[in-house]
Amino acid sequence: MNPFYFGSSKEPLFGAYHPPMAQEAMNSAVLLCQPLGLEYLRTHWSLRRLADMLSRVGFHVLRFDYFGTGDSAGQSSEGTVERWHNDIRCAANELLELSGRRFLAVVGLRAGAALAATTDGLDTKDLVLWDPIISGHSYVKELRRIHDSRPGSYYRVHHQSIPKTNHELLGFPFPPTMQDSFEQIDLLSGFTNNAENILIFSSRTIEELPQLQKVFQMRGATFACEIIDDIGDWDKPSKLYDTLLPNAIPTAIVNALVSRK
Amino acid sequence: MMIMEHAYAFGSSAQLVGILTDATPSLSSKGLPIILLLNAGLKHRVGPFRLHVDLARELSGLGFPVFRFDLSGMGDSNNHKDKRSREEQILSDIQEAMDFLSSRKGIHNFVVMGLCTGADNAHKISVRDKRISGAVFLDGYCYPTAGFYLRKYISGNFRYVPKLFNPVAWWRFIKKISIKLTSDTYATSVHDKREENYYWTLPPKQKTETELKLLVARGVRLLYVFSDGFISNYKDQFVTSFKDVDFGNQIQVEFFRDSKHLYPIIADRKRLIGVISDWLQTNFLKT
Repeated sequence: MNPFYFGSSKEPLFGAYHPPMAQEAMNSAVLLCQPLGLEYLRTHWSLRRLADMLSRVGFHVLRFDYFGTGDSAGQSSEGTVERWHNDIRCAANELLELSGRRFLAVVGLRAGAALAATTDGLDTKDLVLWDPIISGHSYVKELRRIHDSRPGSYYRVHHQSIPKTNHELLGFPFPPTMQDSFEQIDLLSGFTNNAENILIFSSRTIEELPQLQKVFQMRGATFACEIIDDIGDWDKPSKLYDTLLPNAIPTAIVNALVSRK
Repeated sequence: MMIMEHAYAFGSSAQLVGILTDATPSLSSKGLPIILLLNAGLKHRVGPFRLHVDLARELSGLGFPVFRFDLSGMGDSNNHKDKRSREEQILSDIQEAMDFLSSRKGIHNFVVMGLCTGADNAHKISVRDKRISGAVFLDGYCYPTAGFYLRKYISGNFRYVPKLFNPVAWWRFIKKISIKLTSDTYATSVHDKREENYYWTLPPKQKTETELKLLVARGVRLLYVFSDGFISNYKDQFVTSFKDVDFGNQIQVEFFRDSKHLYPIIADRKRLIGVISDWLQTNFLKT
């Protein structure tokens, strides 16, 4: 794996490039889009493992941190959805240049799936959505519910004087500009990725699946969805800090992308 | 202010990954140590809630270069394929980081910093490697005292205030404390199951005391910051538990009443970064 910075020299993004480790390289390169906030910390290892698995079967893979997240430039309070869409396009271009490949597959997890699905101008062949956030509004509401439930590991020891603010969500800054832009995300009305094939892998049932299917059909994309029994626990306060160690879904993603080579 | 950060793969087979945040050029001066940030539990190098990134950028603005990196098998770093003990692997990872930075920056002294298991590793490398001139321990080694048990008991039984007026309850409490203090059974392991799912072992107190004396004799500057209730529950617990060590002016101990182990509240993280910045300036910038 090669760590590097790319993009604007004033506000560089951190990338981790996994070159293909198989003798025969695949035709497409895979861009991984990470979740945000606490879920980014929980899933770092999962996406690193997925990148290793894809690299071992011959894919060029790039993981990266959005502006204001992980090792990338910017403060945690500075990101917006518009900015993160730009970052995805920038990372996709970087990966295609690095790999010399023409075809791009994008895998997004949680908020990363929502961002990838709503990024326009991304020439994607395969789009994989792993436990995707469908509605930014519902997602923020759910995180706020967990935050307000005062999970033991989050709240102060003697339950005194947490600053009352809506600008902080589960340990990360969440200013109004970020919240407003994220709440606008809606895969049912704002799906703009022009992928030819769309695959959903989910650890739980998705209520909006029929509506999503219609959206994808209208765009002329092929679509498949698999509900797989694997770790998620996204809405459980007790699992907030647990590192996510899934196996079945990453394996299914690798198999699906290999079968489409 | 533009922050210069560089990503590196380093180590004997480039198996380790780290980010160097350069000191702000106008402030950088010879003789300042490089700050090494170690993994906290299983979290990768950005730290809990991105603490290490915020800290690195703040300290670089004071003139300190800062290196955050992943130990082997953690974050983006690969596993070692040898049969050394995990402790040996970790200590050699930290030494490889120092070797790499020395050859790159020409700096040969370091301040090591870690939270939880990071503090455990920071203690061990400080004892082993003389290039360490300062160490910051966030919830580092601390041993129970009578005051610790008293506060724990009162806090844990606050709902049962009437117990305070019950002589039988007091007798049970004193008996419990006496057994714990004499058997030292408490000081065997710290299990941060809720927050980290991670174990680390508190070494025998006598060993730690001897090692602290060694660090003091070597002139190593020490900052201990304790959150509330993880391993310490009052400010003087650390000093009380090491009454026989003469720390002179080489130590500073801070207790963050009400703060949780991983500093999830933004205001607590800001305060923590402020304390570390002040300590570094006092001990390294002004000498």
